[in-house]
Amino acid sequence: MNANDQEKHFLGKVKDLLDEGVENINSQTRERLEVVRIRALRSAEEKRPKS
Amino acid sequence: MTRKERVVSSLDSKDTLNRFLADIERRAFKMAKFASRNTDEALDLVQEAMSEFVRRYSDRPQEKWRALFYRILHSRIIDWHRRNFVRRRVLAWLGRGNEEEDHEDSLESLADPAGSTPYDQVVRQEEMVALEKAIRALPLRQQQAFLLRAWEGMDVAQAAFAMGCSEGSIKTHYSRAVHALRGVLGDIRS
Repeated sequence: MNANDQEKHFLGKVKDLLDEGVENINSQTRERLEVVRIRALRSAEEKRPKS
Repeated sequence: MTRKERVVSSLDSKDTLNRFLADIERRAFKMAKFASRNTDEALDLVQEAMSEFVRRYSDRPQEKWRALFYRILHSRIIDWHRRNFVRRRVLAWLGRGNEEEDHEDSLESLADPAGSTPYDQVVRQEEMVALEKAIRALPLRQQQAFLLRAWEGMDVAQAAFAMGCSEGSIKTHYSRAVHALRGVLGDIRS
């Protein structure tokens, strides 16, 4: 493998590991993230001027 | 547009927005956690970024949403670092520098055991812990440039927009980050 291929291979491996880390976020944190998202959507809705 | 059409259109756009945020929230959280090293702080950063994004930019074209969201998140992370600089120094002076950092739960990053041997799982877990430690150790801008380019798949121009800096800076930060990570993780398994 040349240097470019080695770097691509390394980055592919890193990306896989990062993706795996995301998939394995525990259920409690996933639920808290869902709450965060709902709160963000609702708070923005409340602050938006009514038409 | 009739009232009914307006309601339907509003529900459609809310659903699209919800799906976009659901798609990026876990990566955004990990990115914020790499920077803050604290779960609660990372969740706050993601919520602030999401709120600002929805309030100010959700009416922009969808193809620009990702870069806009990460631009806000990056800005929040930088602000957070500035605000915490003095506090961290005081805590370090008091010998309590790491009190606000989470202690990593190795089980959280344990690989899915399906289809792999116990040996594979252990090696995989060790690699993941080493990688996350190495990313946390990068200077903030190198860390952000690396994650946006290598993980989010942004090109140089998109990453420069998200980080509010020049394309040349992105190339430099990214290149230094890759070099540093390869130095630390050179023996990552093929």
